[in-house]
Amino acid sequence: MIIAGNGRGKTNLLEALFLLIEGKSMKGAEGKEMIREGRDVAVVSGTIDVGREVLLRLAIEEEGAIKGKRRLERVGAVCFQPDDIWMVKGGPEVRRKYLDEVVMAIKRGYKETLKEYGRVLRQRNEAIKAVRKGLRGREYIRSWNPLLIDTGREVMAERREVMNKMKKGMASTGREWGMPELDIKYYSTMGDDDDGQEKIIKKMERLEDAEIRRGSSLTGPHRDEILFFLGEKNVRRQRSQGEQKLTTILWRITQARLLEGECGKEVLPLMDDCLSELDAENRRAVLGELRGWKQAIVTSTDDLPELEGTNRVWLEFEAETAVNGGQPA
Amino acid sequence: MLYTPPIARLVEELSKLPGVGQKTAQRLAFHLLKVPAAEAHSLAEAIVEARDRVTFCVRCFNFAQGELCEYCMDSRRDPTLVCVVERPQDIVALERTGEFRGLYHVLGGAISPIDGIGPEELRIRELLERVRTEGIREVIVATNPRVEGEATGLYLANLLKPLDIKVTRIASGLPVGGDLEYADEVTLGRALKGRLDL
Repeated sequence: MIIAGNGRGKTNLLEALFLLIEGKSMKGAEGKEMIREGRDVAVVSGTIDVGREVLLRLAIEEEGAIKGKRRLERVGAVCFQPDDIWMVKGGPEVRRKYLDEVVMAIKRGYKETLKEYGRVLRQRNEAIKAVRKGLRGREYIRSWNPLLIDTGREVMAERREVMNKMKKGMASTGREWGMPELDIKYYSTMGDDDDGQEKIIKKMERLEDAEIRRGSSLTGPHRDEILFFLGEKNVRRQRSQGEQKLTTILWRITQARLLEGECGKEVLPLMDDCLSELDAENRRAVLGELRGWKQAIVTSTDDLPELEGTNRVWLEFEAETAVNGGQPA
Repeated sequence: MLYTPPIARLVEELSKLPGVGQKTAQRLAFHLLKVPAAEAHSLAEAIVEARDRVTFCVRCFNFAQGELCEYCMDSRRDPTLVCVVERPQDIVALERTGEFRGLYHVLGGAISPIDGIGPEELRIRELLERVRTEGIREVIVATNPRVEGEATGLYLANLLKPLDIKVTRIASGLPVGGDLEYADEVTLGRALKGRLDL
């Protein structure tokens, strides 16, 4: 438990831990952005116990290159950040990004699958633009349909498989927490898996006019929606802020557990300000869950009654020295 | 002026070649001035002859010397089997295997809207015509295993299958003599998907 007021460096501390373990920023920041204003380099070091103690040391140099990255085969980190709530509140693109992140972490080839699909999509969109300008006939677009379907289905199959695992894990933990029954649904713009190719091609041809007007492809996993339901109610529109937050925390914890189960890693959950906005009962549920982990690091702005019995550390230094040249706090 | 005009011209022309920069062009030019005149003349003639006498085969669009290329003229090859490739260079690679005894068809590229290439720019119409008139049993699609090549292959398959012939795609797989350990994930994944019965 890391307890400190606003601006005391709680998030920075988690960022440093995540960087050390995963070799990248948990906020998706560039190397350069992680160096403190007015300084040339940033250095993070720490010791990890993986049966034996391993010293990790990593430096971000002036040009933003991260040096000393170690690919840890048996250790990982998953981080919850308050902004994660956008995965339920935001648009479908945010949810696709979160799901893709999990798929990429547990399916080695998925990054390439996604890249290949992206290339096919770019080609097809380029074809649509040419037709829109009147330079080409519709055959130009249609020649890309079979491959868009093939690669799109590969993306969808990987996403669905991982999503079902997430769903199962989330629903079971959700029940333990006393949440309404959780469900995740994947809405494909390309139709169901058992739809024949011809059916999809017909659908694509029906949408051609609209595609030419908009200048981009309207079917495929880049347009798919993923929705969360709690007791039949759409979490995005029909559930409270607290329930949205709880759903997001559940996602991250399940992601961590999935990484452990699927990749044989030991995962450290880093939970930044995950308790605010939750009622006492839900705070107890989340903390109870985290107590079951070998180690978990949670930040909070206030010392709460539920934190009794946890290993509490108060950050009391000034914000200016919060990340003091990589020295462990 | 750096060079006397004829040398300057030679350097300039040579530097237009792919993979040849200013320095290499200069080295080649000076080399050509140093070797016996006959050797330099022979190179010049080879260029002229290749340009003037090499044409496209009217049947498969491979390079040819005359109407038909050497493969289309070879009566020992199986004319019911046609292998579709993107460029004439690909035929050279396939011939080196010695595995294929059918004929070829050169498309002249792959579908790529980013580069402004669509089915009309490729010799697809000519391929369909061949299938209709030459009694072809099987078309083997040997376009490059990247997005553009795959799209072209699937596009061809959709056009050819209704004509009641066999359409096949060359397999993607692992390099022979290599270690699984070092194979990239995509290739290994493809190889797994395309596994064969033992």
